Amino acid sequence: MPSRVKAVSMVDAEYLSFRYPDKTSDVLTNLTLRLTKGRTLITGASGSGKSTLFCLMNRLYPDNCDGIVTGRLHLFDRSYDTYEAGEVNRRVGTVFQDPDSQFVMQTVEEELIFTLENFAVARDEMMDRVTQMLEALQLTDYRHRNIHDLSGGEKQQVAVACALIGRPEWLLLDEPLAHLDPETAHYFVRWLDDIAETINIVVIEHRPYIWGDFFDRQVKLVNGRIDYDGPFIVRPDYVFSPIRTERGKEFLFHIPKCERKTFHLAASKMKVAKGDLIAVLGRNGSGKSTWLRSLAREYHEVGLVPQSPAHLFVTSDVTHELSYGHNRPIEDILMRLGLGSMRDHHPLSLSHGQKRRLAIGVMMLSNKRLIAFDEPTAGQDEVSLRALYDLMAERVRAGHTVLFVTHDLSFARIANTYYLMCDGNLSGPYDPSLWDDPGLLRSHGLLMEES
Amino acid sequence: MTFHEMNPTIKFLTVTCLMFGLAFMYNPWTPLVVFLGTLALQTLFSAVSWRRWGLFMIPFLLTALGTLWTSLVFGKQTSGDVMFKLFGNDVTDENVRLAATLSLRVLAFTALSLLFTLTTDPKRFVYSLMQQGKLSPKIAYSVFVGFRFFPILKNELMQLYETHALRGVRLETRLDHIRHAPKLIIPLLAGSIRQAERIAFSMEARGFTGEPRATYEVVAVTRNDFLLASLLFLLFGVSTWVGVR
Repeated sequence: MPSRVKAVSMVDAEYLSFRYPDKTSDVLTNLTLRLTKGRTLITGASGSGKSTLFCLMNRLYPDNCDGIVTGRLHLFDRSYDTYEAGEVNRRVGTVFQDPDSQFVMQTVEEELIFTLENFAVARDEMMDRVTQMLEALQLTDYRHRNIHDLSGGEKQQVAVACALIGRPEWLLLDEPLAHLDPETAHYFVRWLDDIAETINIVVIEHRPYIWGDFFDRQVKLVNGRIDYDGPFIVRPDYVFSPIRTERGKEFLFHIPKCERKTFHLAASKMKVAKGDLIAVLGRNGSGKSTWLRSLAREYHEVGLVPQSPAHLFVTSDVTHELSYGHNRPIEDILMRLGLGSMRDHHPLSLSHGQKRRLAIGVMMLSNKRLIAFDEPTAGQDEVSLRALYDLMAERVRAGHTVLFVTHDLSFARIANTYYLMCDGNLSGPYDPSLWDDPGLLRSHGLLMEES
Repeated sequence: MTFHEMNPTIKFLTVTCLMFGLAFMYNPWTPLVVFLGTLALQTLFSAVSWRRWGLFMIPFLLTALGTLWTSLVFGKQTSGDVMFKLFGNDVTDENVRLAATLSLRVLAFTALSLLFTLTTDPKRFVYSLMQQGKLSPKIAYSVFVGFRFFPILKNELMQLYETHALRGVRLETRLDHIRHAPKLIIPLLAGSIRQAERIAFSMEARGFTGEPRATYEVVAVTRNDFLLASLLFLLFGVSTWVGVR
């Protein structure tokens, strides 16, 4: 007897448009998309609507944002509005971007049980399911670990386990690598490739190069419309050219050692010159950020821009922010940074790029000689990275020294001096010939084996 | 049979009932007997570290002594036999009785609360409130997320202080820190709200809707729970009898 089972498509959208209730224009416009079995990649810049589409797929939207849907949206051959809350989520597992805000319980085991409880799995079946899942994902050692103590990569693996234990047919991942260093990210992709042979996958990613040839299909969104829908094509990552500058007067920094309960940062020295653009590279947890904070604490001429620049702001509007703690004129810098029209806005209401520019302005006005960025590239799309590039280039050409800590190897190419961090020990300086030394790169977790 | 194993909801209700009852007893003997009895029960049926207990007791002991002192010195003039003079005030036996009642009440309340807090695992308490107290899972799991949020918030607060110090905000003494705290509330809240939303999304994406769900961690109600509760009520009965007699 011929099979009458039709291949079920998870998402079947026709002329789908979506608008947030407080916005005047659509985030998604006339989208026609059918997701069938396999591994699909969804790319697009920030604001292209890919995250919105993602939330429509697992039906977090429109219920949680009162968004307005027009057109047809079917999930598993049923209209999206016929589902109860949480019903689709039994068939679709989700992993989010931020490893720190997707867990509820303390230990890995409790977290897995949380999913099983939600799906009303029989109690005497739960322990077996947990054991099986952890074994299948090679995570048995983590079973009783406290989630808070795991590294970012381990947290993402646990998040996958939590999504898969509900036995979904589809797994959705929203930029799961954004907070991981290249070595960890690469390991995660290979691991996912191994364990996810029988499950369909949708990944949102604006920098897919690290995934290698993981996907079979690619959908590219531009301004809420589909720009490309076809087979996946492996493309290299963005390329950033080195910023060349003249070196000026040299000065020396001594960074003291720093002891924490579980971590030891060795004392280090760094010689920098005006016009230097320095990148500090190393694995997650190798002590880069601790080192950077140590440096900023020790020297007043170092201006630190934290990963979320918002942490820096102490007043309630842009003008006050720039004139805080000194009485130099601010007009010129306000204009040069393109913040003139935002002068009365609250610093926290600015966009990420504007916040970063405001932070730079603050540093420029407080006469910092060295501007240090902590992980400025994490989770940024190409436009935003290009803006950061221009900003840094302009600063070093104006005679500032710029330093940044990163694990973004493509962006790191812009630097002219390198320091490497490994288990709390800083080594360097290296010049750009560092990129031709595979042994050195591998020992600092900076090389991805071609697979 | 220990207070640690006792069902937290039943323990909570019992202790609350006792405290409520104590509020109506206006004699020094009832709270004294409750205080001593609670200590005795705690010694017999729990493994509480007395060092911790002592540390928690310090502020309340001071409160009790303060109460005693103020009601003796500033007590209302009452009739009765004058027992002794304090700073030129006549202290009557009525004054002494009142002072002892109030300060012993503080001690009895504290002993009961500590019996509960020091023998109760917060997680088990929430589970039990869900199972026996019919607390909605939405509220219960908010509490769990809250537990996880604390270290994250603390971390964020330290980072804010550190960055602000780097910007030249004077943060040398503890007083500076306290004075600066209001300015950190908005960035801290902005960050937390975003995080809370992400966690909420993640919970819903994993099938948590607040609807009825299965339970793995069963907090049972056993005969021992009622035995321990009866012991506490018995203690209250005895203390009342001693007081009224």
